[in-house]
Amino acid sequence: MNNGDYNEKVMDHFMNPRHVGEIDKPSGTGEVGNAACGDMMKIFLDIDENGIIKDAKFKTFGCGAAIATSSIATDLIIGKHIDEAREITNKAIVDALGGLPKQKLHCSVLAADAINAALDDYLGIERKEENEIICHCMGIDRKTIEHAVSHGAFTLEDVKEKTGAATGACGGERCIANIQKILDKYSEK
Amino acid sequence: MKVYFDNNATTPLIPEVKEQVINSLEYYGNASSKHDYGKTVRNQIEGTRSLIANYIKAEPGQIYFTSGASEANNLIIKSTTTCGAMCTSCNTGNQPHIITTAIEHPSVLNTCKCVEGNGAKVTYLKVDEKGMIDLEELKKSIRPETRLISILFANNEIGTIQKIKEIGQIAKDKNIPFHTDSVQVFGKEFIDVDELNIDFLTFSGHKFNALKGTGGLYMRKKGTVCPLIHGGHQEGMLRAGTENSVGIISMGAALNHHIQNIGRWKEIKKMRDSLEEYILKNIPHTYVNGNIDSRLDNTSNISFDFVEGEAILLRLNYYGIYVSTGSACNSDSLDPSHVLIALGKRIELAHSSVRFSLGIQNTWEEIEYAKPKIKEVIEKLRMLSPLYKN
Repeated sequence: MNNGDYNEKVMDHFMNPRHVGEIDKPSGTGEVGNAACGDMMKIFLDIDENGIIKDAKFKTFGCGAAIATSSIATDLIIGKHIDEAREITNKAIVDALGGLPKQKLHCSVLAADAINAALDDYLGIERKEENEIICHCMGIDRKTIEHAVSHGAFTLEDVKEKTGAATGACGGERCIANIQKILDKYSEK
Repeated sequence: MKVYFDNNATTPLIPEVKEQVINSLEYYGNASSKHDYGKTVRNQIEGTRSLIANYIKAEPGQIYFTSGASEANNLIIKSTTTCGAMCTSCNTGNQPHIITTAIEHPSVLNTCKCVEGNGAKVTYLKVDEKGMIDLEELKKSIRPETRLISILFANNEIGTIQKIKEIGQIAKDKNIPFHTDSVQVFGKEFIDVDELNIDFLTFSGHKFNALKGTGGLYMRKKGTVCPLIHGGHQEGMLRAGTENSVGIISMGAALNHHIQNIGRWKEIKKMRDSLEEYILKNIPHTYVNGNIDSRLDNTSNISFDFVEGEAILLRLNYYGIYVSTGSACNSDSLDPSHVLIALGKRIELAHSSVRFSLGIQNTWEEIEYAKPKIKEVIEKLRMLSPLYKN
């Protein structure tokens, strides 16, 4: 079978996704993305009194990579302490899948973000604006970009070089306008 | 079982075409040579030219071969706005103007973008929710400096067929050349360029079971366009380069097959309708994209709400069923199909769209095999979807 750009492990998680569904009375839920953009994920967590993730389930609207990254993300966090789960980056998700096509990396960013959103929900943390993902292809958040801008990245090219934002598969189509807003905000100060 | 439902992308080489292609590999002569080897090839090329001319009720001298429809579309649009006989009228000081639609094939749309970059003006006609242009809007868009009206005969993604005869009449009344990209119609029904008032018509071999890399155009009046490729005297100086004789011969064999078997499309329409009816009846929240009253007989474009197109494509691929999707996730861009967006529906439905395009090789057995598999794939993916509530 021709899997296109997906490797066997990605195809396995897409064809046989683990932990599909919802959890009744979850400890925390995280919902990220939206259907108009083509992908949306919802993660449900069951966390015990010691902070251990006993169970995780997901529902995802999206392409093969969106489903595979959701599946492996739930696999990775089950049995882990919430602090360990926090450490799971989009790169860890990509590595666990043995790689993803470049234009699908944003799915791993979405999956990592979904875990964080569910943990925030559990901990009662209002999602902070600084944690908002600006560059979806490379998984760069607002905090990282603002830090770069406030430390000498005065142009879009500087931000690209310092943070890696806007250098992913979409070539900045998703995020350049938002990066520019941050640059404008700081140049006014 | 392998079920190929992607015939609007390309079609298989049918056995009799393959046989003729293999035989023609022996004829290596250059069609321009005057010896017998050359003449053998020349005769085969001219035979195809006559067959194509006859098929669209034109004269052989009005048919030109190119590397495909993309080249032919480029040729017509670029030469209309940059140089050649028509260009003398560009000297009026007004930039040349083209009218086309928002749902053209990229070989027309991106060529229009290119000539816009060179100063031409382009009007992209909107379409309604079925993909039809508004003829009144077309009339209103015509300007004194309009050099070309270029409107797709039938859309490759949704199958909508435009009112070509009426469009041709509007163009004729205003004395503006009318071009139609007929790629998806060519071989499926008889075309009469006079009755439809067509001045330029483009076609592609591999969309009607011939080889890739071959196609051409019909041009009503000689000398109304300038070549893209300059060089030798081939194709009446319009398209230099030694003819792709094997490709041209394959087109002749394929078109001949279609002319002999034109009734086959009625059967294919029945298969398409059966598949579509099954889907609409057995899978809720499904919507047909396109104009069911004016549509290609082989095409069914369906949005399966709550699930994403690439996921559907890959799961069907697992069962050996090959389709295409208008989802953004199927491409490197972030936007779903420009055609589905132009219909003005919810953007989610563009991400959820799947095109089933049948061909002459498809069988009822394949249709019956595909039906429950499609249902299963959609049901399983909906179980994964946070948008789907039972």
